[in-house]
Amino acid sequence: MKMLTKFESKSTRAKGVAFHPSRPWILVALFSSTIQLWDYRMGTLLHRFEDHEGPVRGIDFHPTQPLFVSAGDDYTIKVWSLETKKCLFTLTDHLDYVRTVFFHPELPWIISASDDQTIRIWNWQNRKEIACLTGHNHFVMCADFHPTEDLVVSASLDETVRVWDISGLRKKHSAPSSFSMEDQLSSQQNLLDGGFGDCVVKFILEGHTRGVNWASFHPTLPLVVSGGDDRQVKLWRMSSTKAWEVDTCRGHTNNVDSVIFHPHENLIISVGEDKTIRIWDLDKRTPVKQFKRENDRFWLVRAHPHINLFGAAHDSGIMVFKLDRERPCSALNQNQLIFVNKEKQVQIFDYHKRVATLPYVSLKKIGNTWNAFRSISYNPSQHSILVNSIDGQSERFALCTLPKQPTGAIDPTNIIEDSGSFATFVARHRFVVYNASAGTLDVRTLDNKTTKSVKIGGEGTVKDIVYGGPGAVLILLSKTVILYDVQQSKELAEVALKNVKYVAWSSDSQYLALMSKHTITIVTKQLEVVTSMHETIRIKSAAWDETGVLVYSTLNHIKYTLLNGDNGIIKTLENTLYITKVQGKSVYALNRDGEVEIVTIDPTEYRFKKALVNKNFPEVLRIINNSNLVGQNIISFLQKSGYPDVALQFVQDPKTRFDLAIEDGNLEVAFVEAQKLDSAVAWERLGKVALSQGNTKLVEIVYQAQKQFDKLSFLYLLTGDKTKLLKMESIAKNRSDISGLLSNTFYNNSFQKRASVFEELGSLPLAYAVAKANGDDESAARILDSAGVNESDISLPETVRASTHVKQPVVSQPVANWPLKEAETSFFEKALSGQVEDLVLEDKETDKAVMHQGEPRAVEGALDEEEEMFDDQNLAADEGGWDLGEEELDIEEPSVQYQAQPEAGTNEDNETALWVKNSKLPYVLVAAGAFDAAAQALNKQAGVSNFGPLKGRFLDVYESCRTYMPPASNDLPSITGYVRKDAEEESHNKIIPYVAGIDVVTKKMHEGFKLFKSNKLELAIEAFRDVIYTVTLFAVNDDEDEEAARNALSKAREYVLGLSIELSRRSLAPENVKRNLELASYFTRTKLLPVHRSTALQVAMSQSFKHKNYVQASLFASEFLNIVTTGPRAEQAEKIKDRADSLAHDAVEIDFDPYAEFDICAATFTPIYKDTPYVVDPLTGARYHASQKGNVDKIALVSKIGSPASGLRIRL
Amino acid sequence: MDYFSIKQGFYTGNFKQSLQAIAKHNKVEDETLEYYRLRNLLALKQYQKTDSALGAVFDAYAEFLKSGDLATVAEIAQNHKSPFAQNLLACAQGLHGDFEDALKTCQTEIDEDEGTGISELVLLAVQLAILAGQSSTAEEIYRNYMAAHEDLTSDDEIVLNFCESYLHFARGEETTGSNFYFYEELCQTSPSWKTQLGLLTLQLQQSNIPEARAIVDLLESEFYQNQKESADAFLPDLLANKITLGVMEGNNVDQLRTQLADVDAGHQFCKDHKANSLKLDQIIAKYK
Repeated sequence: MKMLTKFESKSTRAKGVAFHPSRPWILVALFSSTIQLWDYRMGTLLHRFEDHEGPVRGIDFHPTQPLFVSAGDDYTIKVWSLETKKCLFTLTDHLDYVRTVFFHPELPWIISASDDQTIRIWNWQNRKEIACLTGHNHFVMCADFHPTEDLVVSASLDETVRVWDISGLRKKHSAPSSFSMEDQLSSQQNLLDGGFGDCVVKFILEGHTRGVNWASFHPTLPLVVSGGDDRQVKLWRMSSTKAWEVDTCRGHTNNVDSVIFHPHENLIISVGEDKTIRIWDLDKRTPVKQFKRENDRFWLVRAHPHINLFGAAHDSGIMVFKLDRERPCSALNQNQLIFVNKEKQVQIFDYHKRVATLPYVSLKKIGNTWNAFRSISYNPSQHSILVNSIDGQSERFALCTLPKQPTGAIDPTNIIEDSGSFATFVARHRFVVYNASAGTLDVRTLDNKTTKSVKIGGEGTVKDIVYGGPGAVLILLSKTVILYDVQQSKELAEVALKNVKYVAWSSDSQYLALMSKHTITIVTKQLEVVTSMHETIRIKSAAWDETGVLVYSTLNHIKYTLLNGDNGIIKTLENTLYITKVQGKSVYALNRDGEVEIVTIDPTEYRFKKALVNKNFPEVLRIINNSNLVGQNIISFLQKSGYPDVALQFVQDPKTRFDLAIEDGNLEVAFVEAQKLDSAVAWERLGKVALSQGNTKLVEIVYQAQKQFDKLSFLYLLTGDKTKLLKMESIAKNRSDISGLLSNTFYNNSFQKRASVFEELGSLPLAYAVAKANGDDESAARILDSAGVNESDISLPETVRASTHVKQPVVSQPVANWPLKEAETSFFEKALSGQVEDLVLEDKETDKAVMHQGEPRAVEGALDEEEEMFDDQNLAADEGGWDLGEEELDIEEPSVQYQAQPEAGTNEDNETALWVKNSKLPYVLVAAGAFDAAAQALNKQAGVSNFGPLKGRFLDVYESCRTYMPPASNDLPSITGYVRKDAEEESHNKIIPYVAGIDVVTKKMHEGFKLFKSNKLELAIEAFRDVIYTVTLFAVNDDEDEEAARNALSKAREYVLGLSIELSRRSLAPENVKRNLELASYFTRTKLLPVHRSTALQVAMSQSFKHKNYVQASLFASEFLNIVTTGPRAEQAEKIKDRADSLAHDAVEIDFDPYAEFDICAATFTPIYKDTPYVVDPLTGARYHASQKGNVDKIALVSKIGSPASGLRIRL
Repeated sequence: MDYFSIKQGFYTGNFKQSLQAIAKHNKVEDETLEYYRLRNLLALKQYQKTDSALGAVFDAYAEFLKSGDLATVAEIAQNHKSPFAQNLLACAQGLHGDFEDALKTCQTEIDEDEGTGISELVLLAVQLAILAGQSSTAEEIYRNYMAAHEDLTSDDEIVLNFCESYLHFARGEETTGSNFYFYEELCQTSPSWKTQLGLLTLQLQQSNIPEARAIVDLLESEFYQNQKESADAFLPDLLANKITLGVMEGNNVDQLRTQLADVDAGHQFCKDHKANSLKLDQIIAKYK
C-alpha cells in the first residue's frame, strides 16, 4: 500500500479538519483560534474565519447546505455561512471546552462533546439545544452520530466509550406538529433532566485503561473503533442487546488521538501523538502500513465522505492523502481494452461492441492484498498479462495466462511470479523486466528465462518502463525519457523531460504524449519535441483520437490539444476519469471504480481548429455550416490565428463584428456595423480603412456622416470631383467657416473668391496680393481704392505670383474607387456568398434525406423481405426504364404525333482431408480439390451434367481457400497456406474451408440489376447465371442464409427467363407482330422486382398500343401505374391508358390471357397452362413443357431438365 | 559478431539494408557474412562470380538456377562441406524436385551440428518438408532442433522464428494468434514487400477482407511500387494472393490469372490452376 500525499498546509497546530462533500475544500481548525478554508486541489487558501476566542477543536461541513460548524475552547459552537463567510449564530450552553462538533447526516441537528462532561444535541434551524446527554464522568473527547441509525458514540477520559440510543429524540422531533403543550413541557423537563428519556445509554464499553480520545462507528457494520491514551486501538462489536470488545491493535507508542474506519475497505486508520498514521487490517487486526512525521504529533484523521481521500491534522498543519492509487490498470490491444476492475479481476472491453466481458480471472492472490497493481501489459499472442505490483519494499511481477473465454472470477491456473519491476511485453514471445538493484533490463522468454541483460544508462532513477513500439521500450527516468531498442540493445532516442509518468501513443504511432504531473509534452516517435504545455490541475490520462488530436483528462476536465499547442476544455468532469481511447464523439475511460465509462463529447471545436490549422478550408466551411460553433474562445482563436473573416461567421455583437470586419478589411460588413454603432471612433476607423483601400465612395459617406468638411474637401480634390468641391466652397461660406472656405478656394483655384474673402475680412493687403498676382487687375484696383492707396505705394514681394500649382483634373469623371490596397475576398467569404463552384456545403446525408422526402416511393411497403434484400438502394421506384428505341406511338389526339420518350425506361493432404472428413457438401469437395466427387454429388443432387459453365466457379472456390507465403529465400517456391472458415476453430471435427458470405451473392445480384437497368441484357443474363453458379457451389451456416441463397437462385432464374424472352422478342422480324406481343406479355409475367417489372410492363404497354391492341395496352398501363405513380413515365402511361380506353379494341389476337394462371416454358417461351404436363429443372426450378425432358436447362445451361435429383445441398 | 540486422534484413526482404549491414564488416573474413552477402545479391539479381571457397558453390548454384545443372553444384558442395554450402546444395535438390535428397542433405548437416549456418539449414529443411507435403516431418525437424538448443542467439532466433511461422502457416495454426502478431510486428519493425505479403496471407487466412485489401492497396501504392527489385520479385505472390482476395470479394479474377501466368508460370498457383483446369476438362468431357 502506498500513501500518496495530495496536499499539505503549513500552519500552527491543527486540531480538526473537515472535507466539503462536493467541492475540493477542506476546513482546518487551528489551535491559534483561526479556521482556514483551503482548496486542496489548487493548493490555495480561500478564506480565514476568525471569531473564536482560543483554540478551535471541532469542525464540520453540513452534508448539503452551504454551512459549517465549529467549536472550541471558548465554550461556544458557531455555525457559519459559506456564502457570506460570516458566523450566522453561536450556541453557548456548554460550560467548558467543546471538543468536537458534527452535523447529523439528515436531520437539522448538531452534536457536540465537551469537557463539561456532557454531549449536547442542537437543532441548528431553531438554534435550540434539544438534548443533553450526561453520564460520562470526565471530559467527553468526542461524540458523533451513527451514519444511518439513531445512535451516538462517545469517548471520554473516564476510560469508557458509550453508545447512546437517540431514537426517542428523533421520534419527538421529527413530528413537531403533533406536540401538545404537555409534550413540549415534558420535553423541556426532559432536557432539564439530562435528556434521559429521549437519549439513553445503550452500551458502556469498558476496556481502555486510560482516557479514550476517539470513537467511531463503522459505516455499514455494527462495529465501533476507539483509541485512547493507553496507546491502543480497540475494536468493539455490537448486537441489538450487547456490545463487546473484539480485539486490540497495539503499536502506537504514544496516545492515540483519533481513529476511524476506512469508508469502503476493511481497514482501520489511526493517528496519535507518536507522530504516526497507522493503517490496520480490520479483519486480522494486524498493521498494514504506517507513516511517520518527523516532528509533528497527529491530532485527528478524517475521511472524505465520498471520495478516496483522508485528512490528518498535526502540529504544523494538515495533510490530505489517499491510500494507494485509484487508477485502474489497463492495456490496449487493437479494439480491446484489457483492464483490472476494483475487485482485481481482469475484464476485456470491446470498443466496437461497447461491452465488457465477464471477468477472465481474479488476481486477488497476486501481490499484497491491500496494494493496488502498478501496471499491466498484455500479450495478444499468448493471451496473457504481466501484472506489476509492489509487495512491501520489493517490486514483483506476475505473468498470468488468461483463459480463452471469460467464465468468471476464477483463480488463474498458470502463473509465473518473480521479483522485478515494470515487466512489459516487447514482442509476442519476449518481455522485459527491470532489475533495480543491478540497474539492468532483462529480456525474458515467456517461461521467464532471461535471454539477455543490458545495463541501462541515462540520468536519474528509472521511474517506469512502458511499451515503446515493437521490440522497443520507453524508459521513463526522473530526468529523461529514453526510447530503447531491446532487440538490438541500443538507445534510439532520448529527450530531457522530468518525471514523466504516463505515455500515450497516437494511433499511427507517429507521435506520443509524455505526461508528468502538470505537463504534457508531445514528441515525435524519434522523441523530438513538438509542443509542450502546462496544466495547473493534475493531468491524469490522454489518448489520441483518430484524426491526431490529443484528448486528455485532468482531475476535473476533459481537454484537447492540437499538435501546434492550441488547446481547450471539452467537458467538465464530476469524477476523475482515465481516458483509454477516443473515437469520434466517444471518449472511453475507466473510472476509479474500475468500470468503463463512455463519455460523449462534442469534437467540433477541435476538429474545426485542426481543419483551420491544416488549411482544410472545405472542412472548416462544412463545420461552420453544420454546427453551432460559438464562444469567445473560438473567436479569439480565429482572430489570433489570422482568420477574422471566419470569426465573423460566428458573431452577432455589432462591436465585435465591426472589429473583425475592420481587421479583415471587409468594408461592407464594417459599414453595416458602423451604422449600428454610429460612434465617432467607429466611423473614424472605418474611414481610415476605406481610405487605405481607396474606396473613396465609402470614405465620402463616412466624412459626410461625421461632418468632417475639411477632409471631405480634400477627398474631392484628390478624386478630382470639381462639382462637389465647389459645393464645399458654398457650404463653407454658409457655415462661415473662413478657414475651410479659404482651403476650398485653393482647391478650386478660385482666386477671386479668395481675394474677396480677404477683402471682406479686412485683410486688404492679402486680398490685393491675391487679385494682383492672379491678374485680376479690376479687383485689385477696387481693393486699392477701398484701402485708399495707390498702386505705386505697393510693391508686392517677389514670391507672390499666380497660383500655378493647381492643375485641372486629368480625369473627366471623379475617381470613385482607387484601389490602393486590394481587400481580397477570402475563401470563406467566397464560399459563403456562393462563388466557389463544386463546393458542397450541405451535409450529403441531409441531401439524400431531402431527396427521398421529395420523391416518395411509389411502391412503399410493396417490397417483401426478399425484395428488400435485392433492392438496389439507388433505384427509386421509377428510375427510368429502357430506351425503347425510336418506335413511335400514336397516343395523342389523331392530329398530334406522339413522340416516344427518349429516356424511358501434404499439409494439403492433412488439411484438405480434414475438410472432406468434416463435410461432403459439393462446395467443400471442390475447395479440397476433390472435383470428381463434387461433380458426382452435383449430378446426383441437381442433375448437373454440363460442367463447362461451372468450371470457373470450381476454380474460384478452390483458389479462394488458398494463400501463398513468400519463401525464406526467393529461389524456393512459395509456401501454400489454407484459408479456413473460422481461423480460430481448434476442434479438428469442425475445420472446414473458407466460404464467402451471402453478401457475395447479393453483390452479384446487384451487378445483374445494374446491367438490367442499363439495358445490357446479354451481360445481365450472364451475371444472373453467375449468381446461380455461385449458389450451386455454396455453403451456408444457418436457415436465414440458406433461404437467402435459394431465393437468390430463384430470383436469378426469373431474370434469366424474363431477359431471354425479351431478347427473343427483340430478335423477331418486324412483321411477326403476334409473337412480338405475346413475348412482350410473357415478359411481364416473370417474377421481377417491381422496379424492373415496371420496365417489362412498359414494353408490353408500348408494343400493344403501337400494334393497336388497346385493351391489352390499357391493362398493362394500369399495372404499370400501380407500381410507378409519378414522373414522366407515369404520365405517359396515363395518356396511353386514356387513349387506349377510348379506343377499346384489340387488333391482334394473341396467346395471352391476363387473368389465367400459367408458367412460361423456359425453352419455348410459351405458356404452360394449369393442368398441362410439365417438367422441372432440378437445379434452377425452371418449368418446361414435358417434351423438353432430358434437354439441358436453358436458364443455367448446366443441368438436365427433369432428371431425377435429390436436391441441391448447401447447408453445412 | 552480431548478425542480427543482417539476417533480419535478408529474411524480411530488405536486401539492400542487409547488404549495407554486411558492408560495415568488409574487412572481416567470415562465411556467414559471405553467405548472406551472396544470398542478398542473388535475391537482387546482382550476383557476380566470387573468388571465395563458398563463392564457388554459389557460382555453381547461380548457374544451376539458369541451367538446372545440379551435378556441378553437388560436386563443388562435396569439396566444401560447410553448412552454408550444403544449404545451397539442398536448395538446388529441392528445386530439382528431389525433396528426399534435399531433406537428407539438410538433416545430415543438422545432425552433425557443427559450424555456423545450422539454423539456416533447419529453416530450409522445414520449407522443403512443407513443400513435399510432409508438415509433420517439418515440425519434427524444428522441434528437435529447438529442444537441443535452448540458448539461441538473437540472430538465430529470427531464422527460427521464420521456421515456426512457416509451420504455423502451412498447418493453419496460430492464425489469429502468434503467427499473425509475428508478421504484424515485422511489418512495423521491418516493413517490406515480403513482410507485408506475409501479413497479407495471415489476413487472408483469417478472412479479414478489408484489412487484406488495405495491404494490397499499400503494396500497389507509389512507395512500394518504387522499390523496383522487390516489386518485381514479389509480384507473383502478390498476384496469387490478389486472386484469393478477389474471389473472396466475389470479383472476376480472370485477368489476374492471366497476368500471373505471364509473370511467373512456374508459381505454385499457376501449377495448381493448370492441373485443376485439366482435371475439370476431363470431368466436363466425362459427363457430356
